[in-house]
Order: sequence, then structure tokens, then C-alpha cells
Amino acid sequence: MSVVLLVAQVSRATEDRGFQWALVLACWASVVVALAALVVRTVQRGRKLAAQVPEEQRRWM
Amino acid sequence: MVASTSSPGTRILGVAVGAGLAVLLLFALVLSPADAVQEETVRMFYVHVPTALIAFTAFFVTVGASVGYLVRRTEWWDIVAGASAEMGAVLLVATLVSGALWGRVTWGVYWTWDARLTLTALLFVLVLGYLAVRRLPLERGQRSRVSAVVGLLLAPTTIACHYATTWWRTLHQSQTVTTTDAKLDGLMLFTFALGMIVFGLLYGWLMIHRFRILWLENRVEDLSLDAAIADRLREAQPDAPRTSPTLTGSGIPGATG
Amino acid sequence: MFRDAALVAGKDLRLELRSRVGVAQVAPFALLMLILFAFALDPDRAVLQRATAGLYWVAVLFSALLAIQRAFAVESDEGVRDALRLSGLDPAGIFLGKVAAIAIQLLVLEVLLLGGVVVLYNAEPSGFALLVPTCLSATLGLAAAGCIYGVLAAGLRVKETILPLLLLPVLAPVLIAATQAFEAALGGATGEGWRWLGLLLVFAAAYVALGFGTFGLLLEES
Repeated sequence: MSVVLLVAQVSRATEDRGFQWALVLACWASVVVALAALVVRTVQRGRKLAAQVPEEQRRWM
Repeated sequence: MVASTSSPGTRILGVAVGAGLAVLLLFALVLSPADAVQEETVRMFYVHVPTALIAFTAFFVTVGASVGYLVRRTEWWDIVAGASAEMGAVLLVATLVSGALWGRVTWGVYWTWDARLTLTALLFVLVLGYLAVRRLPLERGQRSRVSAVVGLLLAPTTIACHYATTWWRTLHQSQTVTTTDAKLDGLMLFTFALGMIVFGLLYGWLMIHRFRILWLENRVEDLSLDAAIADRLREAQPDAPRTSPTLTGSGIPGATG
Repeated sequence: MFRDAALVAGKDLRLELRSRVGVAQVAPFALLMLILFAFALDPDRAVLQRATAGLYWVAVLFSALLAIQRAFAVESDEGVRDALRLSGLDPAGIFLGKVAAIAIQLLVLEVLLLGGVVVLYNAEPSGFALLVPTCLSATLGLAAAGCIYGVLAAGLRVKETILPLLLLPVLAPVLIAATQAFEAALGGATGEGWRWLGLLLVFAAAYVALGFGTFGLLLEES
């Protein structure tokens, strides 16, 4: 987020296409990266927990 | 086979989400046209609005599940409420970040105190409070009940905040863009719909996994409690015959048989 | 139920009269807030005058936090809350009693603060027809919501930090509505203010009703 702010402040001059694209890409990139990280962490945590619980208790309801 | 919270269903769902996201990126960034007024910045709209709508849906689920828990008192409702709030908060952060960036370009500012933003900020803090309550070091049943009440109270509070902030401030200036059906057409509408589907499926995937994780956490807690009790029982009867103590059996020190 | 409420309210108010925590600590805190606002904002009177309504209600809000925590802290000594649970008093009655006690203390505080802003910020009290109901309904809403979250937080070790986090967002509509109503009243043009009063009344009614429903459950849990 702070990197994005820095970029935005530096190119404040005109809201030209370049600036727009920069923000668009920053927006999408940060969202995708953050969600990907969340997905990875979720799967890892799931694996770690599932290993601690015996098979028969692993029914989800 | 590695033990995990995945199942054939979630694997298919996960692949669908991944593929869908790739297609969404293609459409959002390349294939869909730039807006006449918003130019390229409209591409952020395909993140901002879907995540916002799904986040609100997630909180709605939390409120409903809180009511469900208070009525049914089963672990299932409790976990659904908690997981949905967490995932909703994640999506809301994405909404706020994408909204701030979008605002910077279209309005010139990252934030402004109009009705919709104020309400979203308040909702975010409310959910943070709910999540804080869920993390309190309480006995599980107590925590579930307290969380359910706090979750339930999210609803009237949000409604009150909605009226207060709407009256207080003029409406979202870009109302035209956010009323999606009226103003969008063709490829832009398609991309928006695709965004809704992809983020919706992502929420579903995250929910299923998060549910299973929370469920397993409870099971692990139960197991360690069982083990601790078994240890204490074993300590109390060092000379007892070598049968493994059961919790439902007569594990009372001194009892015969 | 009303008898139970009167019992609890009487107990709390008598406690307050004897210990004088509200008088000795909460009221000075509220006045201190008004003074600090004056330091933080331009001593140039115009800013303070424009912001008077908002500053007043922010001060009330933070003072209410103290009052609510105090109201439940008096019972955190060993066994007192258990005694309350086992006493056979109707939980709804306990809720009403606590709300009443807190509301009365807050109303006294608000009158004091009103004097404070008149003196310190040069406010001209007017529009009492709007001002008084606003104070009453806002206070009722504050007290009701405060009691719900207060009893929830009371049994927790982290009660000092979790109560503001939970309660303040919930009170945001009260802050907005009360400030707008006050501005309308103090500014002389009370037309707009009545709508905000309506919101305050709805909020108060809703939270009193919610308190009726949930207080028993929360008291058991705390």
C-alpha cells in the first residue's frame, strides 16, 4: 500500500493514461497477490491441522 | 496422500476459481473497453464492486448464522458465522483498497466522507469488533454464545448507520457507475458479471476451507483435552491395571473395578 | 419487572451517591475534554463555535464509556454478579434498572456539559424544544446499547479495551444524529433537527428492545 502511495504521489502531475494504468495494475496486482497468499496459507493451515486429527474425526459436520 | 482440508469438490472449485480469475484478468485488463468517461480506471471497478457486494453478502451470512446458532446451538452455525465474517473482512479490505485507488484517480482523493464510504468504514470497524470477540480466551460454548449475540447486533447497527450516514451526507457521487445494470452494457457488463462469479466462487472456496480449519481446530482442542484428562487419570492411579482409561468409564480413583 | 428495575436502579444510584465517582471523576473528565478540545483546535473562537455540537457529543460519548464501565465494575467483585444472577430478579428488570441508573447519571453530566459549552465555547442555548428531547433520547440509546455491550465486556479480562471497540461504532449513528439535531437547535433553525430526533428515538427503542431480548443471555455468560 505504501509503495502504491509513493507511486501515486510522484506521478501526480496529470491523470494521464500511464498513471491510470499504473494504478489499475497496482490495484489488481495487490488484490491477486494478497488473495493468493491467503489461499496458500489456508491450504497449509488445513494440512497442518488435518494431520493432527485422526481420519475418522475428519468428517466435517 | 497428504491429509488436508481439500476434497474432490474443493479441488474442482479451486481450479474453477483459478481459471476464472485468469479469464477475468484477461477481460478486465485487455478485452473490455476503456470507459468513455472513466477511461482505463474503470478496470478497477471489476474488482471493487464484486468484492464489495460479496463482502456485504458475507456479513449478511454472519448475521443469519448468528441467529441460527442462538436458535439451534450447534457448532456448525457458530463456525459458519465466524468464517463468513473473516472472509467478508478480507473482501472488504480489497474493496477499500481498490476503492481508494479508484478514488485517487477519479476524484483526486483516496478517501472522502460521503455516505457510502462512511458506512463501509463503520461496517469494517464493527466487523473487526466482532472478530475481536471471537478471539477472546473464553470457554468455547461461552464464546460462541457471546459471538452470536454480537453478530446478531451487527444487523440493527448497520441499518441504523445506513440511515444516519445517508441522511448526513450526499450520496456517492459516482452513483451512475455503481448502478450497474443501467449504465453498463456489452463487454463491460459481461466482465462485471464474470467478476461477480469469480469472487463469489472464491468466497465459497475460502469459506469451505476456513470452515474445515475451524472445525479441525475445535477437534484438536477436544483431543488435547481428552489427552490431558487421560494423563491426569493415569497419574492418579499409578498401580491400576493396564487398561486405557476411558472418559465414560469409572475412572474415579479409588473406585473398585 | 419494574419493581426489579427500580430496585437495581436504586442500588446503583445510591452507590453512586455514596462513592461520588461520577461527580469526582467522570464529570471532571468530561470538562477536561472540553478544555482539551479548546487546546487542540484553534483558540480562535469561530472554530470551536462551529464544532460545538460535535465536540459536545464526543465528550458525552467518551464520558459515557467511563460511566458504563463503572456501572458494571461495581459488580465485578467476587460473587456479586453471581448473586445478581441467583437473586431471582428478572433479567429484563435488571437491564432496565441499569439503563435507568446510567441514563440518569449521563443526563446530569449532559446538563453540566451544556453549561460547559455555554461558558467555554460561547454557545447560545436555544431551541430547547428540540434540545431536551434530543438529550433524552440520545441518552436512552447510549445507556441501552452501553448496557448490552457493558455486561458482555464486564466478565472479560480485556474489558477496558474491548468495550470501546465494540460500543463506539454502534454509537456512531447516535453521534451523527445527536450532533445534527443539536446544530439545528443551537443554530435556531430547528426544522431539520426533528428528523434526527426521530432517528434517535428509533435507535433508543431498538436497543431497549434488543436489551430485553439479550440481557439475560449475556448476564449468564459474563
